[in-house]
Order: sequence, then structure tokens, then C-alpha cells
Amino acid sequence: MLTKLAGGRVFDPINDVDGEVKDLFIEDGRFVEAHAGKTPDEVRDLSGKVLMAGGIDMHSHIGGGKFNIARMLMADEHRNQVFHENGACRCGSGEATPSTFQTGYAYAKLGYTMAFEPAMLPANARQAHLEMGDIPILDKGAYALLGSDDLLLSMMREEKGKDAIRDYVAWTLETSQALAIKVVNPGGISAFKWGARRLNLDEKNPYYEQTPRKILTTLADALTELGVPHPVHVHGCNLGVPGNDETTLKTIEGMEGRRIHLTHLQFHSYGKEGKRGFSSGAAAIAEAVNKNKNVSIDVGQVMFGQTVTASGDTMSQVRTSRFADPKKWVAMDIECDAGCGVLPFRYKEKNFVHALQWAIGLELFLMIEDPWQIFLTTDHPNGAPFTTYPHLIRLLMDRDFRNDRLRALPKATREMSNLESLTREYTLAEIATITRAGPARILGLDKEHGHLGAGARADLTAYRDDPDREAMFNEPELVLKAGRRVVEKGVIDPEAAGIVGATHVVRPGYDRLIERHIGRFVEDFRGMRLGTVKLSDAEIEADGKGSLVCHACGGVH
Amino acid sequence: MTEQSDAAIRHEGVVSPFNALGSDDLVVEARGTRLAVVAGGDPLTTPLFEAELGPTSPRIGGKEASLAEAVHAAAELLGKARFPLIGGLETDTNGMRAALKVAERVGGVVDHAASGPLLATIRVMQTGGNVMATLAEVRNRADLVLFVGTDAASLMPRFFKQVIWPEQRLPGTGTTRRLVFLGDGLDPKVGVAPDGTLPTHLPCATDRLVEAAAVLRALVERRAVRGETPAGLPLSDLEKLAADIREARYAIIVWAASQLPAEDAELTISSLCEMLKTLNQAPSPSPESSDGQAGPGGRALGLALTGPGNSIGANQVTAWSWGVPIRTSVATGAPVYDPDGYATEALLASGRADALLWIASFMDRPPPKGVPTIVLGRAGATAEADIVIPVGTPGLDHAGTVFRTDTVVALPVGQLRESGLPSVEQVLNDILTALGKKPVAEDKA
Repeated sequence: MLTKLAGGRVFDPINDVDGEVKDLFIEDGRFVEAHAGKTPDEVRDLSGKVLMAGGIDMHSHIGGGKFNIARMLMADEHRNQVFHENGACRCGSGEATPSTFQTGYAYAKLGYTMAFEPAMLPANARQAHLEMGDIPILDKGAYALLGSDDLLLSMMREEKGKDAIRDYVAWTLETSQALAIKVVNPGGISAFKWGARRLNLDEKNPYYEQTPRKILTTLADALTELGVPHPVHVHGCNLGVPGNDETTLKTIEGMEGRRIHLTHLQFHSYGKEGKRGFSSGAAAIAEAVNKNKNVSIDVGQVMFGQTVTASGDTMSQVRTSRFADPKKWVAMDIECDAGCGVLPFRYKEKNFVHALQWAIGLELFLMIEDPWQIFLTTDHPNGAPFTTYPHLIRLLMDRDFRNDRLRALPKATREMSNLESLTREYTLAEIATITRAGPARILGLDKEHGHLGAGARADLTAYRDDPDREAMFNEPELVLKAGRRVVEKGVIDPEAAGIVGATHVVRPGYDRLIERHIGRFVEDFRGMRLGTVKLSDAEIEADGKGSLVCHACGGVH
Repeated sequence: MTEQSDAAIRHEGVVSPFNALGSDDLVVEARGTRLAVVAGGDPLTTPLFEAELGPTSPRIGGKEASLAEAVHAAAELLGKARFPLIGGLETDTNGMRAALKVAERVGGVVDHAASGPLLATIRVMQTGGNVMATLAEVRNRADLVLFVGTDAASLMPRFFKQVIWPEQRLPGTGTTRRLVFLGDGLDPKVGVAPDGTLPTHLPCATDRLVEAAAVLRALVERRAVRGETPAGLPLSDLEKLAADIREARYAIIVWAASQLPAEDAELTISSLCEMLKTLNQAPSPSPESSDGQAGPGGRALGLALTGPGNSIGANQVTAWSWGVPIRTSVATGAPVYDPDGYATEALLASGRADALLWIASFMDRPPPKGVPTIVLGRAGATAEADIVIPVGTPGLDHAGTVFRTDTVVALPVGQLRESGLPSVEQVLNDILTALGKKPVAEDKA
């Protein structure tokens, strides 16, 4: 069936289309060229509407053990944040920590069609994929966590060589069904298990004697050799510590031109100036990002309100546990693999530090010049839930609105930020870049996703062009996934509520002899067999419950 | 299948669906539907593998019926109920997923047979938090393991072999490991070290464990404790234990809520978890940062033990699907979590629940009595109910996933025989089909 979407204003940065009025054609779930001489079976009038590809969230904690802990920890909030089943949509609860079904519906209602879990512990991969299997409508994928696992660190300590490490990285991607590799506080989660409470970029892990700097370059090199599209996805050292702007600048420098993605950069852009010893380091960091095209970042914007932070960074979560609000927190050491820390957090407008965190995130958004280097995230739910994206978009697009909000903040905060002087307002094309085109490209999905050109899967969001950008992005008129209507005017199509999206993975080739070494480690130290650890395709695809899409790697192996 | 095969099929590397330890080194021989554990068994799990299959035919009112008839009758019973309880819930991930769908369809409430102890640990987490370790961290890093009110072995006979005394530990983690049993009637011999060393035993009356935990916390946090024999133990013994915990490099505290007095479990676990939080917040051992408030940069973590029946898995699926733990009602169409009000015993005693769908696919666990009941039970289970539908056991009759006691590791269990029994998921999906679709209401979200 050929469908024509007529008369919309198209924002499609991958294809250099910037607001032109253009008809789009969909056949068999994909965009196709205009057919000369073929009459569409269906014409849908979208004149006046703003059209973009389906949104892609490249960093959002949507599934896995720590998020399930976070849900249970937020029981008081969930009591008042319930969602009813309606015969088509399943019930659920939670705004900052939504249940799986609700996660899918809420993203779809915002016009998103893909989201990626950025911190899947290989030891917890089976659960993470089971949870993501219960997130309807969205396509999804996950980044496997490495860098504090005893196996990698022991291989580095014993100088097993870069080929063995590269093979281990490839094996991890394959057997945990991952799309990319994430590093959280490189070596630091491990150092905490050995008793350390802090680990700087050039400090050695207490036992393995590896520095975070070395772990980062080692993993970056392995991924480059394997040709994995997404660069190493890095949550750096010293998250949340005043003065970590220096660490971040040194991390960028230390990559010596290697590709790196610095995630939730806002949490890593803190100076220690001023009488409270807390200041914005955004200007210098934005300048470093502007100069280093090998660097991409997502912001991890803070928004005011109750949320919960769920992180693999046990060390920093325990360090900041005194700030938990409400006062309760969970930490776990996990399986010689990594860890997790979960603490509720309430970002308050009237709190000097929280308000400055908010300003620092916006400074990064406005001072990093190339929209292909920066992606819109709140590090859901750590800075704020993803449901705040429309508000964030308005802050970026509307300077008067932004400055109004800024004026509500404490004077001491305003004095520490240059936000008021930043005149930039994001355009619709730039919003399309940081919410779909850019994420698709940085993840290596941009052949079929993140754009509206012929051959792309027909994921599309149509917005009414409302000068109130928050209202506009809060309720798309129409959301299509693979050409199928999933949301119209804020309501999930009952027929679409049960769609189970695909799981996106990469599988670079590697020398399978590495399994002998991994197998020995797993048997000797975890007391398990390798076959129990590996997640099979059938577990995701069984009974048609899910499907896998494997993306090409450009590696030489 | 039972008659035909003489030849045994040998399955190696079998994952036990029963022990919550994730043992995956069992060797099981199948002759037809008879299974024999050749290696890796233990007194609790081997009988669960080796039990005869038993009658596989569904029964209505004690009389044999077809699966279709039983499903139809079950749908009718559930469809008529005002507030059905879906209990037991001893099933795998897919069985649990289906159970939640049924609950939403009929407006019921879900509770697991072992929710009481499970929720003792979870409620402490929900109100104060905790610091926990998974099995491999215990196995490699622990230099001190304190068992509070449990010997672990009575729940998990292979616990010491698999977790405490492995042949190897990660290089650098040390070679010593001291064990302390705190409680009454615990047999230190189950924890004997390879070199013959026995765990230290501090005999504490079961009903005073709650006091012992509180005193231990106070001592670890260097607060004053009055009296010479708190919890009936010499104060000096508890002081020594507190000092050892503070000085340990990686202390582990093990509890099994099912073996603590139900009325004290939450408070006992809460004292232990608060103590763990304090120890982990202690700064690194550097001259400037050491404030003398706690140990020299050591770590201390908890490990909660559960029994067979995949209570962890049932709770995980509920938490991700509905956003809250088990003991939750969806009678209003949205989740309402009430860990006291929605306990099986409370719902049946008060008469609020008017029908019971009891799921017990791992072992013969009879349903509680009092209301019209449907049992989806392991074949061979003897208890009668209004409707009985024998189902397969995950890991024996069909593949699936179950969770380990540490909540992090989910395990793939396989199929060892062709019993022809349907899975819980299949039966529940059939019941859903028989119930028919609910009309789609206006989107309220």
C-alpha cells in the first residue's frame, strides 16, 4: 500500500531538508521516492504540520536491575502516579521511574520510536533484555558495561595484549546482545571494591594498577579496531565532584584524537570557584568539545523536581549518599563485573547547587556549536525523567522563556552563570538534529533510522506548529512507526499498543579462541559455566516476542 | 513418552531451577520422563528432579477433564469472581508475565507464596536502603562472613561449596575467610573450612536476634551500649564482632528472612542494613580524611537468601511491569501495592478474596483453603481443588528463565524431557483467550 503524507514542513537534517514543504510517500513500512504515475492508496493531509523522523533517545535508563530497584525505592511516589489499563494499554506506575509498558507508551506519545539503555551490566544482561522485551512500541538496544570488570582489568594487568582485549570486547557485545560499550567511572567501581573511595584519571586501581586514562584508551582502541559504529560511551571519573571540569578536560586531551562519547557531561562540568566552591566549568569544556571533532556528548540536563539517580557508579553514588532525598539509598557490588547505586534526589529551584546544575546543562547546550556533536538527554531519570523533554526543548528554543526561568533562581546562582548573556535559540532543524538525526548517526543507525529519505523506516512524528514549543513537543498530532500509526493526538492506537520493537545489536568478528580464557575466568571465579552466561538469540526472539537487528561494523576482522 | 525409551539421555551442565543459587553444573539422566541427578544434586533439589511425573490430566471437581474444558471452567470461575487472588506464583518469567495479564483482565491481586520473607528485605530497602553483594563478590572478596539466624545450608545445601569455599579466589583478594554464626540451633559444622576450621558460633536465642542486630549496629557505629549481656550474649563477644566487622576488608552479612521470626524480620534486617550503610560511607584510609568513625576503608555488604520457588523472579517481573513489588492489586485497573493488606492469609481470612488461582509449578505446594480454587500445579501434586491443571516445571519440562537469590543474575533453564505438559504461560494465555478481550476504554493517561 502506498501512502502519501501531503503538505508537511519537513525537518530532515540527514538529507539537508530544512523546513521545506514536501510530500512524503510510505510503502511497506518505509519511505519511498515519489512514484510517477502511481496513485497513492491513501492520502493524509499534514499541511502546516512540522514533520521529523521518530525521536531517538541515545541515553535513557529504561531497563535492568538498578532501574527495577529504583522503581521499588520510589514506592511512595508510585502510589500517586498510576496509569490504568484500558483494555489495550497495560497498567503501570511511576513518572521518574515508569514501569516498562508505561515507558513505551510515554515515549511514543512524545514522538520517540527508539531508546537505548546505556548501562547494561553483562551479568545482568538477561534481565535487562527481558525488561526491554516488555517495553512496547519502541525499538531499543543497550550498551554493555566494561572497564571495572575483573576480567578486563586482570587482562590489562597481566598484559594479555590488545588482540585479546579486542576479542573480549567483541565477545561481550555478542553474548550480552549489545549495540555499544559503556564505561562508567573507569576502574573506579572496581577500586571501590578494593576499598578506595575516589579514583582520579591518573590514579592506579589499588590492585590492578591500571589508570582510568589507560582503561579509556584501551577500550577506545579496541572499538576502533572492531569498527563498532558508536565510540566508547564514557561516564567519566569524579562524577558530581566540584573541580571535575579539570578531569573532563584532561580526559578529552588524553584521548589524543580517538573518538569518544562523553555522556551526561553536565555532571562532569563543575568548577570549584566562588565562595561556595562550586562553579560552572561549561565554557572551557564547550570550547574543548568545539575544538575536538572526535568528541560527542550528551548533556544529562537537570530539571527541577523529584527524581531518582540510578547509576553503575557505586563509588560516586555512595560518596553522595548523604544528599539522598528522601533519605534512603541502595548500593550493590555485582558479580566481578560492576556495581550499581540508586538514590532518590530532589532538584530544588531554590537550592544554589541544583540551580547551577540546571544552568550548567543549558550553558553546554548553547555553547557547543555543532548540533551533530551534542544530543538531548536528561540521563533519564538521573537529571530528570524523559517526560520533561518538551520543557527542555522550549528552554533551548525560546530565550525569553529561558531568562524568565533563570530569574526565578537564587541570585547567587545567577551570578555564577553566563546563561543570561547567551542569545542562541535552537532552530527546529537543530532540535531535529539533537533528538533524532544526530543520535542515529552516532549509533551507526542512520542508514535506516533518524531520517525521512527513501529507504528509511517510516518512523515519523508530526507536530502542530505552535509557538509554545513545550506544548508543541508535548503532544504530537501523529506518530508513525514503520508506517503504522501508533499515536494520534496524544492517544495510543489500541492496535499498536502491543507492538514489540526490535533490539539493535552489533556483532564484530573476533577470534573465538578467547572463549577459553573467558570460560576459565567465569568457571573459576564466578562459579558458572560460559553457556549459562551467554544470552542466546532465541531468548530474545522466542515465540515471536522480539526480534534482533544486527548493524554492520567496519572492522577488519 | 513414558513407555518408549530405555536409553538414558544424559544432560550435562543442567541449571537447577530449584536452588536460587544458580547451580549450573548438574548432570541429569532422563529415561522417558524419569529423571535422575547423577552429579551436582543435593538433598533439597534432587527429590524435586527425581519425583515421578504423576497424573498429567486436568481435573474438574476431582474428575478428569480435557485441558480445554479445564481452561474454560477456570475462565468462568475467574470471570465471575469479584476480587480473585492469583497466589503461589511459583513460576518462571513468562509464567509471571502471563499471570499479571490475567490479573489485569479479571481485576485481581497478586501475591507469592514466599512474599512474607521476601518483602521483609524489600521493605527495608524501600524505607532506608541497603548495600548488597552478589554471589560472585562474596565468593571472591569476603574475608569475614556473618550469618544472622541462618546456617544457609538448610535453605541451600550447596551454599558453602559453591560460594564460601571455592577452589580459587580472584588474585589479590586474599586467602583467609572467617565465618561467624549468630543464632540458635545453628550447626557450625556445615560451614567447616577445607582446613578443618569451624565457624565461630555466638549462640543467640532466635527471639533475641532482633536485639543482637541492634546492639551490633550500635557497637559498629561506636555508640554506647548498656548492660553486660545484651541479647543474652557477653557484651565483649559482640564488641569483638563489631570490631572485626569494622576492620574487615570486605565483610558480608547473610540473612534469610524466612528463618527469622516473622514479627522481627524487618527490624532485624533494618539494623543490619543501616549498619552496612554506615560502614560504606566511611572514608578512605588516608591521614587527612580518617575521622576514626569507622573502619579503615573496608567494605561491608549484605546477602539475602531465599528458598526455592523463584520469588525473586516473580517480584522482578511485577516491579518492572507495574512499577511496584508483589502483593499488589489491579482491581481498580491500576496497581495498588499493599504488603500487609494483600497478603494471601489476610485476603482469605477477611473474605475479601472470593476466588484463588494458585500457581505452583516447581514443587508440590498445596493451596490454602477457603475459596473456590484453580490450581496450576506441578504434575503429581495431590491436593484437590475445584479445578486442577497439571503444568510443566520450568527447567524440566520446558525452557524459561528464573532468578538467583541475589536478584541480579537471571538464569536460562532448559528442557530435560518430553512430558507434553503445558507451561503456566500457555495455560494462562489459554485462559485469557477464553475470557475474551475487554472492550477498549478511553485513554486515561
